[in-house]
Amino acid sequence: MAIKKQGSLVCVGTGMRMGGQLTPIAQSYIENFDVVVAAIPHIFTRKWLMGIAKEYICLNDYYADMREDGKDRRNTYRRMADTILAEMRSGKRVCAAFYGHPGIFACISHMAIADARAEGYEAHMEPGISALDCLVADLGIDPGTRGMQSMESTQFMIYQRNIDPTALLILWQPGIAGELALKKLETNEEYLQVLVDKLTRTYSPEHEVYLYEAATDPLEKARIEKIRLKDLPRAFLKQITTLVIPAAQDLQKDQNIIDQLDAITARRQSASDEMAERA
Amino acid sequence: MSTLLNYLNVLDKDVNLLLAHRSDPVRAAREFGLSPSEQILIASGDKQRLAEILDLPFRDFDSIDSIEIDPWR
Repeated sequence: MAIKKQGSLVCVGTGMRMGGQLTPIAQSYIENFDVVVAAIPHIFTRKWLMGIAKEYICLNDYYADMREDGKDRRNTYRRMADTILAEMRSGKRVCAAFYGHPGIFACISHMAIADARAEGYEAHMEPGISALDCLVADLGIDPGTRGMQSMESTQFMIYQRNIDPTALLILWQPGIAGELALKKLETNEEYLQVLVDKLTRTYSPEHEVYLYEAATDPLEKARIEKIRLKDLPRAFLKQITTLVIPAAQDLQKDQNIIDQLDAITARRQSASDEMAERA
Repeated sequence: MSTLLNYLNVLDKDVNLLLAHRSDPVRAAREFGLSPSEQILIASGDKQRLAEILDLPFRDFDSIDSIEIDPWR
């Protein structure tokens, strides 16, 4: 059996707000592991975590480097993962903390865990409360009712994606939509018009959509703003704004499948009846 | 941890403080042990001023999601 190396990694999520969305096990890792390496954007949450961690390494400045130097975001993410891994390789028990869920829209934690395991270190992830969880609660929508599609806005723009207008569509980060160089965290009206043009292949320009932002501290309320799809390019978007597009069409029955299922049910019932008669 | 920061954190996870804050934020803050100026600040909800008091550089919440949207590039 392979011997695990000294040093370990756990990736935890802090939720979207402060202590209220931090799970007990995540807080325990933050308080007890040797070092917390974290990308926590909210200043109050960050300050609080700095106070409860034994040692705290902040990854936020890496984003500042990107803004100043125009570095590719992927380079920034790799450097963040490398910082986490360097602490682990030095033999420390490392807790990498990310806001929301550490595995959703968070490639750094996936990178770090994969590399740690490949090198023979113990590494795992603890789930956290994500923006999607908050969105479901705040908008009062159940993804199970009509189904849900969820993807990053720029990815939706630059790839051929088949959108189902009978299900909910959630597009993340429209506030940085279309920025292909990955060197800026912003968008512009023209990029957003391209996004709207692509969406109007499926939806009416008059279709009502929501701009959503989860509350990030207890003094804040969630932003839930209803607009027409055509008005998106002129809407105020932040980096954390999410575009929520309700279903535009009713579900259509697949009668062929229904007929197949009915036939199977009838056949099984008939067989069951025959066995009962023989008995 | 400062009492002010602790107030915010407890407000985020304690329903009793949350209800008291919603009912009368100044009283809730006073009973928590905040100073008169902090009570007024909490009641105002002015996060920029709160950040100053907590000696934090105020910035709006940046999304710093890390997504490899284009693995082929």
